[in-house]
Amino acid sequence: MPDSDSVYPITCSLLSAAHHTSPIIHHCLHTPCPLLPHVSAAYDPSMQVQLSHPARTVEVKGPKKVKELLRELNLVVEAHLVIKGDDLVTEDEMLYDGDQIEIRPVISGG
Amino acid sequence: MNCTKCKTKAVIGLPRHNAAFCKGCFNGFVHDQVARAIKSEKMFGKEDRILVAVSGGKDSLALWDILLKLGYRADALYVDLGIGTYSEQSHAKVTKFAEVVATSHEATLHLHTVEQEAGAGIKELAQLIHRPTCSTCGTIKRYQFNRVAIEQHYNVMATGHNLDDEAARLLGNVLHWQEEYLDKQGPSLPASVEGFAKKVKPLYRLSERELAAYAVLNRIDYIVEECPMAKGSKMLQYKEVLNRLETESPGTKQMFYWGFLEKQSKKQPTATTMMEKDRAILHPCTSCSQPTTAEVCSYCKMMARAGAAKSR
Repeated sequence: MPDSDSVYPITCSLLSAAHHTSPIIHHCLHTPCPLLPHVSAAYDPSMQVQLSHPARTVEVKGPKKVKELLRELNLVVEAHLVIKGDDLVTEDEMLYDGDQIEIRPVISGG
Repeated sequence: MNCTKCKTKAVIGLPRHNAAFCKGCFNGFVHDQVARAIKSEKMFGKEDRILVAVSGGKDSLALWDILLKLGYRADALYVDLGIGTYSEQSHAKVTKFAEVVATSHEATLHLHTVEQEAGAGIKELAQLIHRPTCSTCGTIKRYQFNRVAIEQHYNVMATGHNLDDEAARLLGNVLHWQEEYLDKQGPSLPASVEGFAKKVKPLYRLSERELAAYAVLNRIDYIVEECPMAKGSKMLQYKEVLNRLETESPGTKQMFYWGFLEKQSKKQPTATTMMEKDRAILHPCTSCSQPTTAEVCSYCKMMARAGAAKSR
């Protein structure tokens, strides 16, 4: 697996078997992917969701409402903001494959 | 979801107010909540000089931004705690905000570096004197903010404590029945004795999520990363619990804290007010002259212990 701070590359390196065996993320553009052909029969972009504490990026399949995305990731609405691109979005906003999403925690202080 | 006021597309929903707002109306809502807090708690006026305690986080930078936009004379103090890259990043955020926003309002940023005065960063200091890091940090910040406020003749010191901070603190105090702390949980504490600055919390009507949204919408570049020293703290646990309750029952946090404030305000006046109590037990520290209940204040004791530990 790539380290937790990295945003995963879109193109397949064809070098890292670990990259292809990640249970959450698959970014290969080769169709079919020679390393994991059963998963990558067609390019499927999904949503890129950036999370914090620790910093990581996961992919989630759209379309999906913001509140559904938070529920799926087991995150509490009151403790997070959802930012699509550069814009803050409400819980009823529909998110689509290819969207760049940041889920930002709002709790601070010791 | 559309804005409750102007019916354009909303950017944030506020279930506790049964409302949603676009950017413009949300900024109006935030400014209005702060203005109401300042007025209802008689915090300060337009002629007062205010010292804002800034950390590089969303709350304190949002507070500085709001006070300047509301037309108050607000300068700020940043205390560099010396916590590795976390302090470097937060210092950079504060400096950037001061240059980009505060300077155009003719506001000044003061800086205090713990390492310069104490000879070590907060983590090393806490280890030297065998005290928890967060408690060492609290003592140093309270001392330095008060010192600068008094020395530079500020009328009032403002901190970025929000509704979540106050509700979590109240929960902690109630869970442990620390009734003696409840008197000082109000958003406006008077300058009870000479040497103590008045302390106010103008953000107590706004939630942490609302303040983060204000920072994002107004492009305030703040440090999102949590202080590495605060991980697993009790306050964070209380906040998590309260946020779960808030999500299920919007308005829980404000009912809890504002309800407490209302009850406190209706309490029969006791024989001795908070100011009278303070005057009875506080006197100048023999070392630095800041008010203390002991002969030497906790900050001076801490510095003496750290000095002795280093020379061993």
